[in-house]
Amino acid sequence: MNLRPFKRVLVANRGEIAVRIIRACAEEGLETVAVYSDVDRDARHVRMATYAVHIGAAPAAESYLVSERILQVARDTGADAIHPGYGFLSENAGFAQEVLDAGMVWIGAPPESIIGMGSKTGSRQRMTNAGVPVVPGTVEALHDEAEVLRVATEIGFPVMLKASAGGGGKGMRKVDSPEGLVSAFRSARGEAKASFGDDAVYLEKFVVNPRHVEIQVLADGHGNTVHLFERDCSIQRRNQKVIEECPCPVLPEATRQAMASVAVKATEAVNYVGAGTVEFLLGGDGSFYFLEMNTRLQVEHPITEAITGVDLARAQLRVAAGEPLWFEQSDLKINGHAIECRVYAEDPQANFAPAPGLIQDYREPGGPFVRVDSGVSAGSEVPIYYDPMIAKLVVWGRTRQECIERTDRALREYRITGIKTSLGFFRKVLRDERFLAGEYTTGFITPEFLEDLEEVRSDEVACIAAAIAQLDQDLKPARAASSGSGGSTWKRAATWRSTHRIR
Amino acid sequence: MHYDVTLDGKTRSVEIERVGEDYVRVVIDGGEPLVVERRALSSGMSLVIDSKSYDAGLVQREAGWDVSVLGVLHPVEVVDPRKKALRLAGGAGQGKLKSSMPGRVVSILVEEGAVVEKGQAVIIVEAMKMENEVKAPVAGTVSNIQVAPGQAVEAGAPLLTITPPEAE
Repeated sequence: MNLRPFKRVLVANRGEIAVRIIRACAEEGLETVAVYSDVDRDARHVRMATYAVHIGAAPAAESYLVSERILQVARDTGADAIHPGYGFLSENAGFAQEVLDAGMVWIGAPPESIIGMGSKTGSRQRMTNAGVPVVPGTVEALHDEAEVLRVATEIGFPVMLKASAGGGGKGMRKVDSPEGLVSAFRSARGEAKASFGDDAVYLEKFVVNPRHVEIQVLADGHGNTVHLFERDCSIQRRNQKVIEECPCPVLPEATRQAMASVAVKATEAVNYVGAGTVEFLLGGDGSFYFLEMNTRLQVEHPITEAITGVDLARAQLRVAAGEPLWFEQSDLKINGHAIECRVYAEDPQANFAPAPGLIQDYREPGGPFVRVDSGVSAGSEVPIYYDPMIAKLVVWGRTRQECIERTDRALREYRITGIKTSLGFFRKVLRDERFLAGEYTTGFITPEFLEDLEEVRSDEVACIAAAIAQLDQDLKPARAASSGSGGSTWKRAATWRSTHRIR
Repeated sequence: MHYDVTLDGKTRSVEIERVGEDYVRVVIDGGEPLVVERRALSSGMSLVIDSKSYDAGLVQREAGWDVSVLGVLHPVEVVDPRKKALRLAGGAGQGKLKSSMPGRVVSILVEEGAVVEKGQAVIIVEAMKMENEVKAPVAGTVSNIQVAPGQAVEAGAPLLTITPPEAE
């Protein structure tokens, strides 16, 4: 029997997070409504949902970001709740308010909490007032170039430009000297506008060689707020996380407690309800600075689920339904270790350039304590319009060592062909001495590190396999060969596929 | 059959012939012959070489095969030397700048006739919400701009030409 105030949840997202939310809803006995753009008709979230409705063209601005259309779909399908996932409309307070005004349940942070924390400049101010240490910089958005130059010179280079409404590295630029500042400011604003619909950009001092450590929090509507420990997200490229782990391998217990207690205070200060994350920069001396609060479910939430046993997506649904948390802080313990690898459709050796395209073969790893959250399968096209993350590999181990060994095993099992991905890069990271020692910073990935993947390659076998494949093709009967060589690369790849797959 | 097989800048000379239905005999750089038992599978191949088992994913590309082994992608170029001469005759022009990724042209920062430095940003291409600067690979003069702002481009699409001073 389902006595929830809502029974049908519209999932205003795509990809792996839409799949994740649909799974949580299914477990809670809730129906789901998927929405999809022109290029996502075949996506996994569409196939898994109870209902599916087309919402527009491929660019997010014409589909996943069109709040009025999503609301209309919710009304038309009888959805009585909306889950925004992460990105897109998840931290859009205006949209959250519209959902509430339409008489539906918003499965996310209250609009006033999003306003209080969603704007990085606003949250910095709030934290400063509360006596929480923040990185030196502006709290106001900067609008003209002369002002940016003046403030940057005051603080001293290097500085970091950041989108006020941002997240995920979008609209972020590190600037080393006055010469590059103006063009970086312009492009950061352009990217902020394109990604978030808001071109406000602020500036802060670039802290050299920090770690990025964040605290997961969860609050209900009855005044209970707990933290679910930290995640270390220091392995980044282009200021975007690629590998996360928890617990943080170098965090002393006293610092963990202090950071968690600040995070809970910050959460309570904005009357937060739901799942959220408070991000910090951790200096080598154990000092930490508040960065921002993400008022949504994070990409990397599964590693916290792995070490605490709490299903955060289901917790969101229950809290949104008005239920109190079913556990207390003292019930939570860190159990073992977890690592997440974000599998991106990109080329690590071309400075992580996006590499969208058709996934030919897709085989996920399995075995004990290995979880893959993904929104793709063999035959999926990775579109150019959205974030290039296609899957998350999440692995648990009793100890960090066991977890690393299991993660490498899972990566060796993982098969994605047709597009370039970060899988091989992860294997190299997992063998790196700095990573094995747990001693790394956000500067871990250097151009030298990316030069080659020689140590994890199997060159001779690869060359033999390629030569045999070529031989088999060249010795094919003339008719099959001519149909292969005449077409595009894709067509030829498809010929190979159909020849060997269909029996 | 003889192929020149190149991976990461290193070329191996491979002599290869079928020995019955499931077996292939391979000689790399004139070394000891290997007998490979292989099975074509969906999108790939299972290989047993001297009782060692390998599982490879395969996708054909313009110049060879992308081979996935143990989670790592190996872009392998396979050339039949007899056909190589033909291809070289085609010759790729120097200084032709191509898009490294599919995306959308946001803006063009130079005009035809402009003189650019090596490493100077000339075009901004947006892909997957990221603005990426396309930089001049050489110093020289810009000509033959083939794209316009707002235009969608495929990976490998020609963008413009930069002619180095000594080539003018």
